[in-house]
Amino acid sequence: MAPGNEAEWAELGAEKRRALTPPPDTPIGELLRRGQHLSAQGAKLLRAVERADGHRRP
Amino acid sequence: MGIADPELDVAVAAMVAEDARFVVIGGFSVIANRFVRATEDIDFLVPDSAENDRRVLAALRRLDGVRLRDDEPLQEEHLVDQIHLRAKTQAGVIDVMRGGLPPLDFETVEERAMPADYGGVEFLVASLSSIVGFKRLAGRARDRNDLIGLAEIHGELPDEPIPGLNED
Repeated sequence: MAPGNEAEWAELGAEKRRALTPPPDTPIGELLRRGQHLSAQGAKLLRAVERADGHRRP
Repeated sequence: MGIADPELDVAVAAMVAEDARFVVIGGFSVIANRFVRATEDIDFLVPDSAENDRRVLAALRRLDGVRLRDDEPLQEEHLVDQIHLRAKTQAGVIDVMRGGLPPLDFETVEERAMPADYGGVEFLVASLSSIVGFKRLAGRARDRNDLIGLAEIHGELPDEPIPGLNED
């Protein structure tokens, strides 16, 4: 995490995109299931952060 | 009622049960085109049809929908002859909107849409070309981010003239 490593970060980013992008033959229903699950996880995390806001460390 | 997480399978099941005509657009259509990300709501594109609007309202009522703005129980005048309705439902926030000018009119978007089978329910999801048009037109930061994500997956994106964007 220091300046000068942009090319390495770009390669790591591309590697992650290659690994995580669903294959072209993934059924749409499966993509939607993953998206809905991800959305629920994101919302859950947001609520957890909001609940904990009053106990935030300085 | 607080804001529920978006449950597309529940929302489309209600729309199909009421025989409503619609195409899924917005975040879930981006996801269906393989850019899997989180989304906060469900977006339906609907035709200009009072009869269909009544079916959509019936579907939203099945989901205990109220108008988000003021928690008002859904009335016909909230959608009929309107261009947009945002409802709070048991399946999350649902945006119902009309199409624009071709190629972003309802008929063209519907004709190009992809069939989806999710939770045992069949319905239509906007194709890549329609999504790109909507995103270019909206032009918010999150839309530009979606276009970048979709381009990483699909390569060069469709680039057809959009009224209001490509006028001399």
